[in-house]
This record gives sequence, C-alpha cells and structure tokens, in this order.
Amino acid sequence: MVFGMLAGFTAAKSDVLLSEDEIAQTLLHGPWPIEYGKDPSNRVSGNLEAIAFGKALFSDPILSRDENMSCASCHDPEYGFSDALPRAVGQKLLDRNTPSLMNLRSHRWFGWAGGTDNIWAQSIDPILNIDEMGHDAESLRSAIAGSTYPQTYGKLFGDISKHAPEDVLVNISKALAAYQETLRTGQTSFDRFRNALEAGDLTTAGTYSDSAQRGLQLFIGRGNCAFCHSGPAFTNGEFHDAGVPYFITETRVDEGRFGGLKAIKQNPFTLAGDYSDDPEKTGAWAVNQVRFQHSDFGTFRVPGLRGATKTAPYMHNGSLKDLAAVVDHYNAINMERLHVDGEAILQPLGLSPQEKNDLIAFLESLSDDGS
Amino acid sequence: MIKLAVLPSIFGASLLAATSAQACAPSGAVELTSLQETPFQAYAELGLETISKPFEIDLYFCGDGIEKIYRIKVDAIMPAHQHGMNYTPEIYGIEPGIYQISGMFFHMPGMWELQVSTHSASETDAQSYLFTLDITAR
Ligand code: HEC
Ligand code: HEC
Repeated sequence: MVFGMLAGFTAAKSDVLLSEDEIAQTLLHGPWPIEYGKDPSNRVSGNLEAIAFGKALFSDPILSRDENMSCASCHDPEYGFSDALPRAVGQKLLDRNTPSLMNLRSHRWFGWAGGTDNIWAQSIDPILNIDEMGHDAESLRSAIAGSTYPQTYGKLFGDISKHAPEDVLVNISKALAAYQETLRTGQTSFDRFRNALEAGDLTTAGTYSDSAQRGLQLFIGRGNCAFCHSGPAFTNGEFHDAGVPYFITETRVDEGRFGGLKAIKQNPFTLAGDYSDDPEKTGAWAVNQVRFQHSDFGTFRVPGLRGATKTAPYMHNGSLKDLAAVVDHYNAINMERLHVDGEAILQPLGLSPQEKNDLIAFLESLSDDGS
Repeated sequence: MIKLAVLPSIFGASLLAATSAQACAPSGAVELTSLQETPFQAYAELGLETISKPFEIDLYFCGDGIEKIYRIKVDAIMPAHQHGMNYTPEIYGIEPGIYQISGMFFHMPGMWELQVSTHSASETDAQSYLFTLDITAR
C-alpha cells in the first residue's frame, strides 16, 4: 500500500511517498536524540564542573608540550568539531582526516580504526602522540601543576601533587571526555518527518520535501546505504570497506581496522582495564570478545551521517571534497578497489542527476538542526 | 523463517511454564533445524531486539542423549555477504541441556544463519550434530 494515497485525503500540499515497508525502515533511524546517560567508565561523566574544566582544557594549548596546539586546533566547532582539511596537520601532515566529535556516545569504537573503546582513552592518544601534542605523562603533570588548574583538578580528582603522572593523564582525559560527550546534534527535518510518520501524522510528514523523501527511498532501498549506515546515528558502529583507497603513499598503506585491533590489544586504557571507573566493566564485552579477521585489513569505521554537511571533506583520508563527491563515489564505485571477499553490497548505482540530487537532499536533511 | 524483531525477550522465564511441543523448552522458544537425524532437538530463545547491539540466546536441548553433550559451539554467519560476526560469543552451561549465550552481535540487517553444534566427550565414539536457524534481523 502506498501511504501517499492516504495522505491525499488530508489535503496536504505534499504527500508521503513512502510505502509501508519503507516507513517501517525509516522508523529504525530514530528517535533522536538518544539519551545515553552517564558513561559508567568515567566517574566525572555528567559532572558540570568536569564539563566546564574539560571545555577549558579542550581549547588550551597547555595540552601540547610546545604549547602550539590545542584539541580545538583540529576539532573546530565551526566545522562540527573537525577541521575542513583532507588530512589533519599536527607537527606534520597526519595520515587521516579529523573526524567530527558530535554524538560520540553513539560509538562503540573510536578513531577511524577503532584503536580505543571509549572517549577518554581516545583523548589520551593526541596528547601523547609525538606528531600531535607530544607530551608524556610526566610533562603533562608538570604543565597542569604549574597552571591555574590545580584547584579545579583538586576539587574533581584530589591533590595533583599526590597523583602519579599516569593518573593525571587519565583524569585530564576524563574531564575532556565529560565535555565532549555533551556535543550532540539535535532534531532535524528528517527527525520531524520520522516522528510524524510514527505518530501517523501524514500532514506534518508531508512537509518533508519530495526530493529528500526520494533520496531516503534510495538510501534505504536501491543504494543499500542503510546496510552500514543503520540506526538512529546512521552507523552500525563497525568497520567496512567503502572502496576508498587505503594507500597513504605509493609504498605505505593504512591498515585500518586491522591496525586498530592490534592497537587496542595493547592499550591499557580500555573498558576492560583498571582505569575504567566502572566496577561492572559495562561494555568491556566488545574488547574482550572482538575477533581478529583478515577481512579487517583496510576497513574503516562507518561514520555517522548526522551533521555531515559541516564536516567536509569526507572519508578517512578526506579524499572526497563534498557530499556530491561522496554520492558520485558510491554511484560509480570502483569494484576493483573493494576487497575480493567483499560483502557484495556496494555496486555502481547508475543514478540519474535528479536521483543524485535527491540523495544529497536527504543527506542534508540530517544536518539542518540549526546547531 | 521468523521475524525476530517481534519476538519478546523473556530471559529467565520459568521453565515450569513450558507449553511447547517439547516440555523442556519454554513456550516462545523456536526449534532449530538439522540436516541430520538427531536424537534430540534444539530450541532457542532469542533476545535480539535490533541490529548492532549485543544480545543473548538461551539454548535448550530436549530428547534422548542430551547427557552425552560435552561441549557446544555457537556462531552465526550472513550467507548473502559472506561474513560472520565480528565478536566471539560466550557460552555458559546453566544445567544439562541448557546454555546461555552472550555477546551475540548482528551488525547488519538481513538474514543471519545461527549455527549450533553439539559435541560428545568421547574421542572414540565422537558424535556431533549441527543445528541451524535462519534469523531475519533489522
Ligand atoms: C593534529 C590534529 C588533532 C589534534 C590536535 C587532536 N585531534 Fe582528535 N583526532 C584527529 C584525527 C586525525 C583523528 C582520527 C584519528 C584516527 O582515526 O586515528 C582524531 C580523532 C579523535 C576522536 C575520535 C572521534 C571518533 O569519532 O571516533 C576524539 C574523541 C578526539 N580526536 C578527541 C581529541 C581531543 C580531546 C584532543 C585534544 C586532547 C584532540 N582530539 C586533538 C586530529 C586531532
Ligand atoms: C558497506 C558499508 C557501507 C555502505 C553500504 C555505504 N557506506 Fe557510506 N561509508 C562506509 C564507510 C566504511 C565509510 C568510511 C570509508 C572510509 O573512510 O574509507 C563511509 C563513508 C560515508 C560518508 C562520509 C562520511 C564522513 O564523515 O566522512 C558518507 C556521506 C556516506 N558514507 C554515505 C553513504 C551513502 C549515501 C551510501 C549509499 C549510497 C553509503 N554511504 C553506503 C560504509 C558504507
């Protein structure tokens, strides 16, 4: 049955074009936003003072050894907390694109390769990375101890002069995480459409543009996009090969998830480890039970698509300059670039110019929350 | 084939309430199929609500010879996309013939094949049976 016919009775200007099955599939992409609650692995999650402290630290160059870079240098609020560059620039050109920091709690793994399983651990990486902020735990502790922060730190975590450097590193990162958790996208025209469908309010649903509706139909239908970009955040949180080359230079490859798994097995800051504040070790099942598979080589985490209009360029290497380029990429996907044991999901789509515009209109409707 | 999204998850449901064909599995448990002749049947109670979230399965083996089951293996694959799960499920024996499986994880919508095999202890008289169940996840 076509709902558009029903909507005709309501004398709405536009109609709902979706079939019943398409409506059922659409409902799976909400409701939004999701209330995640406090992160049990972080004892200052949700703590207002920690959030304010984390926010101050986030744009403070004190977190880099040479005081020449802050988190915000790369994660700029202007661009959805990414940086508008194809690949990030630290002390030198890095290998990957800076991802957005919106909706972090919707992820199970962090970074393009999932080398960490929580936000505070992921925040430690750039602080210690010699090509980014270049501290070690000792130099970070001295920097914080010599700043105006020890009082705030003391209130939240205790006397810094009595803390081991590693503990200071983790505590600082937990304050950073408390702040980053609050960065979320709000309801968009897609969400209003989805919620109206759920409520059976076809008049309101009909105000979502026909073009975006047709784009949505492609997204959940012929485009197969929702196989990977599933659920309310438009990601399944796992790792796939979307046909983006993984050569960094002619001789160097980005191992993607394969490297991420090697990294996480050596990472002391996981949800299963001693630095988690959660006695129940909630979420540790993932790092404990994750499988090493050869097919992980050259796969990358499926990005969420909310707020994407702000975070161009796209893909792990920033190789696609705008959403039109992404749609062209999927439309004419190079099958030879997909792994031989591929999942047989992606294939050239043969979209007409109008269909491409529809898909873009739909993607844009995931970003118009005014944030 | 069944639509899992509509199955209620009723873990910890009382075994006394069993009304299914086999008195040993709770009502609501679905029977797995086997290509072989098997002395016992396998039933599963599925906690799957949605893709991309870990879920649990309770497995019940009913019939003759369940006391010979020494070990079971559980996995799932997506035949259409030639991949399995990204996580290794954990198996807990609850009592003879009853197991709880945690850390099941379907990361894509579509048809998954649950694969359960049972193995006997004895090397000389080794017996194993394979059961499967098609599950549509979304
Ligand atoms: C030089 C640029 C740069 C700086 C400085 C930087 N980041 Fe990042 N950030 C990146 C890049 C690039 C990635 C992707 C890393 C990867 O996939 O390996 C990333 C990834 C992340 C992620 C994971 C996001 C996700 O969706 O998984 C978080 C969280 C994060 N950064 C937080 C921080 C914090 C907190 C700081 C400051 C302490 C910081 N970053 C400093 C470039 C930067
Ligand atoms: C097989 C899984 C899969 C399918 C199907 C899929 N994607 Fe993706 N998508 C990914 C992965 C993985 C990436 C990141 C790839 C990389 O960086 O190498 C991605 C990246 C993107 C990005 C860039 C986001 C960013 O922040 O960089 C957009 C936009 C996108 N996909 C849209 C789509 C659309 C539209 C479709 C359908 C035509 C689609 N995807 C189908 C897995 C998939």
